Amino acid sequence: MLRDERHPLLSALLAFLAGGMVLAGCAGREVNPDLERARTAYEEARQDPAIVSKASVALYEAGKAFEEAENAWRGSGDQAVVSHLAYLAQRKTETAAATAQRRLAEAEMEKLVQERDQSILAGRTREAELGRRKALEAKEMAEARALEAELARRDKMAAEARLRELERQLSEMDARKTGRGLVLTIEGVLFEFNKADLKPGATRNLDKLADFLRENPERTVLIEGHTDDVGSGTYNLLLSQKRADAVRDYLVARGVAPGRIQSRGLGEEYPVISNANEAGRQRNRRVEIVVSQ
Amino acid sequence: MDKESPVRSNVFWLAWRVFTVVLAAICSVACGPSAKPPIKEVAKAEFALKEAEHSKAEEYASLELRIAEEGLAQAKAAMDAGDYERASLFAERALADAQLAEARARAATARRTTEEMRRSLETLREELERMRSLDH
Repeated sequence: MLRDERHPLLSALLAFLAGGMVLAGCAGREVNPDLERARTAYEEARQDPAIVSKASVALYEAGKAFEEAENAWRGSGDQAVVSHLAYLAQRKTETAAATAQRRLAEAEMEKLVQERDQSILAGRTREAELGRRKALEAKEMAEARALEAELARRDKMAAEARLRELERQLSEMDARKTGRGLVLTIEGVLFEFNKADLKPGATRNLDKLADFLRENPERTVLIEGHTDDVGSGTYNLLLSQKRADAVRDYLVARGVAPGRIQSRGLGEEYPVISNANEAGRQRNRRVEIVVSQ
Repeated sequence: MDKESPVRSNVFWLAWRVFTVVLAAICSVACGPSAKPPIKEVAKAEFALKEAEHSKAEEYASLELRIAEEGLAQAKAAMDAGDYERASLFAERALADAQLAEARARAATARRTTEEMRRSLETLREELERMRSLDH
């Protein structure tokens, strides 16, 4: 009786346990495709060093979810529950993969930013170097210009000194300052009696004059020939012209532009001294050169 | 025996009743979350969805975002219908979908930014190269 009366409870319990085991056993043999997909995805993710290193937490979460799905499959065997948990595991695995990709991109970004900063720095350094070099060049240029200016100044001073020297020399040639300008008188030593050729050795003063004229291109000269009173006036006029021309030709030969030189013969009309003796006549056989101021 | 038999069977009946009630109680505690409205799960999914949207998932993970949105909508619908178990499942899926959407969107954004940086670096390097060649 006791056994009989215990029977319903025991049998129910036994039946419940047996049924559960049978169910569990059945489910265990049945493959769940969602779980297998999740398994494949998770195993792949676990093999991926990028995911392992860059998304370890997300991968761990995915692993937990996958384990839960697998436990459910081994345990209750409710296919819907297993599929649901497998779906979650799958999504978490994909999330881990995406997270790893993001971290990789971010690491790359960090590297690129560093490289960019280095490039910018290099550019700035280069610019600075360029600027420094330009400044140096400018300084050198300025120094060169200053030197040039100094040299030019010295040249000018030297030229002025030479000019003064020439003027001094001109004045040594008995140049007289008159209202017409600087009058240089080259006396008879230049010419023999009745000759219009320049005496060799008598040209020293003329050389100085030529130098002076070359140095002072703005100056012009008027060459006036004179004679003594020997011979006819007409003849002397002609002779004096020849003498003036001889001086002009000499200056032209020494590099003075012909356009700057005028020559004329004035004959015997303007003696500087009496023609009474040879010494006086020699002084009157002369050429006067008027240099414009 | 005969007299006692109904009493004993009553006792058994009572014990069975107690056992089933306790079982039910245990069951209701054990399966509590799914029996209660899954407010927390839905809120988590909703929050994750907002996060995904903030991460430009609309642009970079639109399909994942759409799936998450639909899951959340289904969770809410199930909740309104009083099917809390289904609501909980949908909310869990929506959460996983939304998190995936966010992760993919952020990955895409990072890739894009990196690509832009790579290009700008190239330009910069070309410029430097030009400067260098002009220099020499």
